[in-house]
Amino acid sequence: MDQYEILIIAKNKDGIIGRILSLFNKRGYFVRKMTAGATNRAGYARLTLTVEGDELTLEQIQKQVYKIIDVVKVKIFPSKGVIRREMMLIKVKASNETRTQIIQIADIYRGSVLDVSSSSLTILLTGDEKKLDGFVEMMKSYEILEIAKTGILAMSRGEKM
Amino acid sequence: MEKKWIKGSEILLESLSRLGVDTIFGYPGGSVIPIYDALYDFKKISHYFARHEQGAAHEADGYARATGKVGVCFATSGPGATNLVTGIMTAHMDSVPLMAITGQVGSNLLGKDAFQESDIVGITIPITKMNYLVKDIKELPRIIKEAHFVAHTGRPGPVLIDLPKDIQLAEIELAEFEKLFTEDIQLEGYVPNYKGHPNQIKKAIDLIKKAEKPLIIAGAGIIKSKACAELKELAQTMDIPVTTTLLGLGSFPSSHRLSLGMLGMHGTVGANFATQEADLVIALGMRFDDRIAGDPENFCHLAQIIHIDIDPAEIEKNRMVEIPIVGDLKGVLKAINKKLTPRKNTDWVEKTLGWKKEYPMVYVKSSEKLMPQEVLEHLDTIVQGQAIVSTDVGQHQMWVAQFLQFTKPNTMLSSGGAGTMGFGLPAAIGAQVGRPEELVIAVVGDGGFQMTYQELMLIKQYQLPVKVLLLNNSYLGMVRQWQDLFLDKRYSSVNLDINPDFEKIGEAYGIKTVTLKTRSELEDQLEGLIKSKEPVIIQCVVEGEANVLPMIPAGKCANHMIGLRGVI
Repeated sequence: MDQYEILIIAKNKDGIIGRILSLFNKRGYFVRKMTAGATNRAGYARLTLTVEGDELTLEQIQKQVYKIIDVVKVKIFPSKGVIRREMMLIKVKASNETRTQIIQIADIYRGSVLDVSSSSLTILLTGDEKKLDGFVEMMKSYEILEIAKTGILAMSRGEKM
Repeated sequence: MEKKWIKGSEILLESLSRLGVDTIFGYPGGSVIPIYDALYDFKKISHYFARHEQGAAHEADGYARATGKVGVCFATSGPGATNLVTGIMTAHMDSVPLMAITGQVGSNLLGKDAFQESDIVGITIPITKMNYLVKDIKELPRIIKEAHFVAHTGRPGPVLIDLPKDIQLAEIELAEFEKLFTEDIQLEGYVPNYKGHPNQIKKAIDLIKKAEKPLIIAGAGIIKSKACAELKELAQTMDIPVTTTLLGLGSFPSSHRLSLGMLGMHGTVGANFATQEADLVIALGMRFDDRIAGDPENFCHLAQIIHIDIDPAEIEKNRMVEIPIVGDLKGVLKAINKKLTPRKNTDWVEKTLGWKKEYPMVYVKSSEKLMPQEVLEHLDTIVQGQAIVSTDVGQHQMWVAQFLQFTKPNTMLSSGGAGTMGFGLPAAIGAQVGRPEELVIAVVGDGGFQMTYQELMLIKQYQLPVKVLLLNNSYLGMVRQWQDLFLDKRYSSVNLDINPDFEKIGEAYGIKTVTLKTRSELEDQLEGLIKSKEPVIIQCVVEGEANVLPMIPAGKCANHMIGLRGVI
């Protein structure tokens, strides 16, 4: 199964996200990740959904989503020419012995330490999926306590949307 | 000068009226008391008092299908609203323009599980084209206009407006309402494409000119787009046989030389054979659903396909096609017809006519009992395509499609996509209200009739001359047929030997009810009863074990068709 990011811009009305997700459920599409937030135009919401499916399914997704009256734009991001970023907060167990090691690894990944306690560290990390996965892998030996991810944000390179 | 005020409930009625709505089907309740209070002296709208909200929804649906206008129904909050759900879903599946307006508990009670509160907007998201919860009386005029517009434009469909009681009671100045009503609707994300792409149209024309064995499949889209004349022109100019879907019946006259009747699971042999041999299929306003295409990959396997539909999401949803055209059929067909010059397809047309002749709709007559098919065959000789016929769902629905002619659009009212039992009677009531001069016949089975026959009361109350033709076979016939053919006659919960006395039911509702049991009774009485000025329930007691044939088993194609000559 291939993974795709779909950009949806919709009028930010009550229940719009429920409406969009209900459609994905109805048609049996699997949404792996989702981000939603405001855009540069007041009253509009921008959603980036990461979905799994084949190309034909994807074509259907695009058309079905566009049928929602309040949806004004739907776009499937191509694999190239697109910036993709995800943000992660990760809390790991840290003792006096391991704290420095963890901070050093976080530095390599350009993560920043947001919170320190006597027994834990909370690190903020931004990057593509691979980078985040790599960091999580590294942290496994220190006991991960909690992970929160934003889902993938995507934007085309260049001037066009 | 004294200021004039208008209430939310009055805005609702006034706005609907200005949009051309003069008929509403509904059922009152706690959360719509202000609306019904406003209706009390609102003279521009006639309200028909259903006896169950599902009935109101189907009545509005039948009204819409028969008139081509938007059907409107009212219900109260909670159970009133959820009782509309089946009706809304039915309209959604068949793309019927329907406005469902529900009362809601007061805004201050929303989300508190108040008495008769239900999240009807949430419940109906998947089965409406658009729905609204009104939060401010100032939004109301725009929402009503918008909902009405969405319901009947593009690919039509149902919309729902949920109106809290406090907003029905709130007031704004009349002058402000006038101003709000003239404001434009804002539907940035809704731009139906009516005009087909010129390049695609050109490609379609080239294919049509080259085809040696072309076939037209006409769906309900032809009727909704009012493109019957254009369809006829295309078929006649290029000498192309026409088959229709269930809901496409009436888009092309059954009596026409080029008509092959309905295709699909219980379609005619000729129509289904034609799909197997055609080299070009022109699919118009239909959606290759499983009752038509069976096995979509192998459906019309030799043909290139031109698919014209107003909904881009229908293109390649079920079947890959060579030439998709997104647009309104009337305009697209006009553009195509303009570039065509008459030609003959004698060999191919003769071949299809040969099938039609060799495999007419036949059945084995029983020596004692009336056959359901012969009742409809006899009905056809009486009405000859000059009636509006509604059906429920099941065997009788298929026999109506097989044995009655349909010569005009908006005359075949049936729940095609949803397959809703209990649709036939209320749909006929709605149709008769919308078209009082026409002969309206509800053909129903003894199963479905029991689901909504409380609506008979409207026939009496409003003196509607609806004819109910009840084919009583004391079975849930279609399920019984599947159990017969595929499950060794293990008749599980399909036997309706224990039925109510339908004559007494009719009598209880004050409607003349006649039972026909024999061939001579049928021949002597049916015509008089159908042509009577009064409403009549005609119960025909028919053979219980008759099967609908021919049949293509589910998931298969025409080469697996059984019962080509009416027997297996």
